[in-house]
Amino acid sequence: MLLVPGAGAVVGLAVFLAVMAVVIARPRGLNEAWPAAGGVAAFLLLGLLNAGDIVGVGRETAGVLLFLAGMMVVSGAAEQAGVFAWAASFTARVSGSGPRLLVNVFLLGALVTALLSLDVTVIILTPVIYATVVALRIDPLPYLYACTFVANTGSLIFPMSNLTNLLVVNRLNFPFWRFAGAMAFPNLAAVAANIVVFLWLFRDRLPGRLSPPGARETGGGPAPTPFLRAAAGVLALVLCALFVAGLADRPLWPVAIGGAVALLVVTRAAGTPVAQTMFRAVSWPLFVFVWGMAAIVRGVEHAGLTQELARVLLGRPHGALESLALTTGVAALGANLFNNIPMTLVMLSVLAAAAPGRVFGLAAAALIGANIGPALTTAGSLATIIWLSLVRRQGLEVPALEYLRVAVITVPLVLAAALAALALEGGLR
Amino acid sequence: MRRVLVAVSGLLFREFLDRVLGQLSWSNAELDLLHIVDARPLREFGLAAGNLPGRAGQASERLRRMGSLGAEAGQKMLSEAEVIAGHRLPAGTPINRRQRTGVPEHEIVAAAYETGATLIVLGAAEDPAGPPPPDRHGRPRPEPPHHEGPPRFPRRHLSPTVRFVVDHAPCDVLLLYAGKLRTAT
Repeated sequence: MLLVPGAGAVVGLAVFLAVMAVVIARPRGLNEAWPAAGGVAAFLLLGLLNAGDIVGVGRETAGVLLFLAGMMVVSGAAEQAGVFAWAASFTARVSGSGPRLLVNVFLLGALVTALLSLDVTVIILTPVIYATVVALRIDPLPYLYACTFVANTGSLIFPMSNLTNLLVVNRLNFPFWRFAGAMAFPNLAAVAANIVVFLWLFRDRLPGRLSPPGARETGGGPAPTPFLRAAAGVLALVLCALFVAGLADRPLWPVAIGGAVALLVVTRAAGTPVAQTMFRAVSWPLFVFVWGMAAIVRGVEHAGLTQELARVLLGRPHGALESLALTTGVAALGANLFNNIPMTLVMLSVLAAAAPGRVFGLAAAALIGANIGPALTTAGSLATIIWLSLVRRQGLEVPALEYLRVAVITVPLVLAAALAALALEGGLR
Repeated sequence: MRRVLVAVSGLLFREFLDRVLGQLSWSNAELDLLHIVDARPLREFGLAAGNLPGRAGQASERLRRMGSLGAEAGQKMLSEAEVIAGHRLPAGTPINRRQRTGVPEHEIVAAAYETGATLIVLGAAEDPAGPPPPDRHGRPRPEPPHHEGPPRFPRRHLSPTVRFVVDHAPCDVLLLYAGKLRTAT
């Protein structure tokens, strides 16, 4: 230890906050991986981390990162084949009215989020839904909000639905099906509450019908080419295999990597170079970011910072509901102030000190806050303010009040619904 | 010369345009067709995707594509509207096409100031007095039962866009329903 006792906490906090500030501000478009790697270097220099910690964190997160890489290729190849465009087109075809389409977009978004992750819903499904809705010549705003919100509210259910879930399941060794069983009801409650709030909020923007009588122009979506059929088939097999692996309590990453290889073969057969698919689909800096943040939080632990938070959350004898609500609130606040990945890692470090009987309920409560809470970021967190200033520089003006209205009304209600569901089903134990 | 600003959008824009062209006198008038690419969905996507760690590059690329898609769809609508108007208006009536990006209600008012519009024409999606929309199988729904007591008039919620423009426009605003009016005279 290079620091005098007591100084470690102050310096560790300063480095953590500096890293988060650069991650959020992204000066000159700097990738998040750089400040994360820089933070690790700073913690090493300060003596708050050692080589053993770095290797240990690498070993702990390897399974999660391999799984992420595999699923990014799987979803990227499925996108290239037109699987998501077909699904969006099908959703439009079976929706006769604006409200029905909104509900169906929510259901499709919840399905994609649950099975493939929040990132896939935001990055891949949202632009596809936009294209579908623009082709229908109806107001795209409610449907875009539906996609971006359900990516958060529908990401509680399976380990693969959100990177935060994967980190929790991996670190606390929760069995796949126990996790899914406990989170299903809160996930359902959150999505249902989100749908109801949006149907009310956007009631004036949803058209009574989606096309003039006799002139339906929803389009058929992409043609069912052999590539589309093969990709959809492999995707279905990969998802089934993931559930089987979860049921057998086996690691998920071999399935994801195997699925990625199978889909790359399909993509190659369809004439797209493998390297192109890999380059487009995989977000390589994310791996450095996740590993770096996990190491930094380990350093924060060594500096004694998480013990303070653990004292607040676990120290006093809270009532069961109060304890869950406090955990959700702290996680949601941190996820909005910084980012939900470092906040989840911090919460994991805090929960390590909880009594074994309370860990599961508190981890579930923390995930509700960390997964659903970030939807508030459209209301005015630091990250949002920076984004708004960037788009404003490009000549686009944003009425902040509109975001405030949607997020401030929706997020607390959805959080409350999920938390109530968790409490009702016995997360209080 | 009167300048009429017509905001073109929505799945019933042909029916709406038909009514605009048929119900107004076009002698000594100039038509400005306006389409707005709503920037709010694009920004909502940018915010959500841009905040995902490691995804900013993919988000920017897709945001650009979505913006182009919205603009192309609008240009297609403006072209169709220009052709329809060209056939219906008296020869020599000036027709201008405009496209703006932003919040539709703000951009409509801004365009009215910019062009010196004397009239803004907006569309409402459905005829409030018209028959109820068909059910999901396309079958017509039965008429609502007659109620005793005070008359109950059909009600249509005006969109936030229409309400804002009515409140802030620098000129007259005309609201026309698209589609066939059951009670039209």
